[in-house]
Amino acid sequence: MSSSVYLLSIFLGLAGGICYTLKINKSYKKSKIQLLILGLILFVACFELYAIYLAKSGRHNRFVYNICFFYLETFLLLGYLYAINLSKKVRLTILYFSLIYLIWGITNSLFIQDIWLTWHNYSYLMASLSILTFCLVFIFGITKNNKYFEQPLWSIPHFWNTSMLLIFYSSGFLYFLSLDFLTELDPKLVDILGSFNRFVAGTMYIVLGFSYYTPLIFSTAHGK
Amino acid sequence: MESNSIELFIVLLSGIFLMFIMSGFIVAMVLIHRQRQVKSRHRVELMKADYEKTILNVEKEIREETLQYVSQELHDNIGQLLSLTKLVLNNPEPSSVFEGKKLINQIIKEVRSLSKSINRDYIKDLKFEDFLKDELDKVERSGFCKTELTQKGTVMDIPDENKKLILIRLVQECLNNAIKHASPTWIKIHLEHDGPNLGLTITDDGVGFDTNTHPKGLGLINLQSRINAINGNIYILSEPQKGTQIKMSVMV
Repeated sequence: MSSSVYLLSIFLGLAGGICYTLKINKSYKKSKIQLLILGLILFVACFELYAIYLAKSGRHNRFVYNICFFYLETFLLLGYLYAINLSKKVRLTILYFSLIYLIWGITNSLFIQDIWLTWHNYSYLMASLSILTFCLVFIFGITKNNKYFEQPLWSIPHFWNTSMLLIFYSSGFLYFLSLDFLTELDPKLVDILGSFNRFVAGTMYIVLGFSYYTPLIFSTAHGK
Repeated sequence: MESNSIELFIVLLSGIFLMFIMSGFIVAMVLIHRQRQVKSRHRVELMKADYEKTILNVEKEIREETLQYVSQELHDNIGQLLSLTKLVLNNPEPSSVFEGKKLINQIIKEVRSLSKSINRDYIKDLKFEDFLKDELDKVERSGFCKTELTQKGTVMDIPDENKKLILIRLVQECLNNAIKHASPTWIKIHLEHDGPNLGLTITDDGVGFDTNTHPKGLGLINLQSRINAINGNIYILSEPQKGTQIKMSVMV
């Protein structure tokens, strides 16, 4: 998937989210969590545009990804996972982890990996593993605690969102972890990996943008 | 270059492998959730069917009980009054006409009261505490034993007709059991309203029984299953020669 198609998929997800907020959210169910997801996609769209602009003008964009993708997006996702996980224990763990991650991010930037020049892949390892864990806990909790028992799982936006996060972070974290090694590879091969990663990421943003339509689509058709 | 390709292949393969594991996990969770939903719905349907069956049985039994009561009243009360009226009216004295009229008025009253109890909706329209009073009156009028009804808390009716029917039948069963098996000198019913919670205690000073042996004839299992149908609780306290106390509580 090329960068332009990837950007297009982010904007598609964004458009889906905006339409939902402006048209449907008013009459259906006002949700702050949906606004958080919308904000997340908007944020991703902005930093991806800026990163592409920097790359096209021949400048380094690592710090953009380091700050925006490895840290800020992770915090937004942790905030989302905090909001959807109703267990006090899990919420507290997310809070503690966020704090630890923040401290680690500062330490890493100051003493270990230069935030301007080096990919913060150690931080990403922490972030992706935690997001994977909290998504697994959420999905497992649905089944264990018989949550959403009256609805099919595919009519729940959070199920779609966490599933896509699981798929993206499970497939992507090896790619981002090995970013430093990949730069030594043949650019064509790196491009294949990047394409695959962008494909999964693009799909994730489309799903995040459109996930809130699922109760409208599935609950009446397959609900009971 | 070849080693680079192998590294890339490993990274790609590992990523895809992890992705498939996660996808498998998601599919498994969907299937498990669906399976639980189906099982739960099946269980709810069974419970509903069981509840409906209980309601039908209760209605049938209340009807039977009412008919039995009516038949008994027709034979023992109205029949006797009519015979007495006939005897009185056969008397040529003018005062006997007045006496006859009085008796006929009494018979009319009795017949009205009986027709009310035969009416299908009568039980549903009747307030629960009025029903308890009537039932205890019946027992006392039959000369079987003394009775007493006490209340605590704000009296309110039971809005759910089915719950009321089941409670009525439970009280009838408890009273029947006491009359048939316990030979008490008194029966007391205590009604307690505590918010949405209704407590009912039926106590007698009869022969009692050993609760551990649960004689089947007493229909204790029946009481338990019926109170379960309305999500209530029942506790039976009894000892031989020390009477019986049945405590029921239900959210109304």
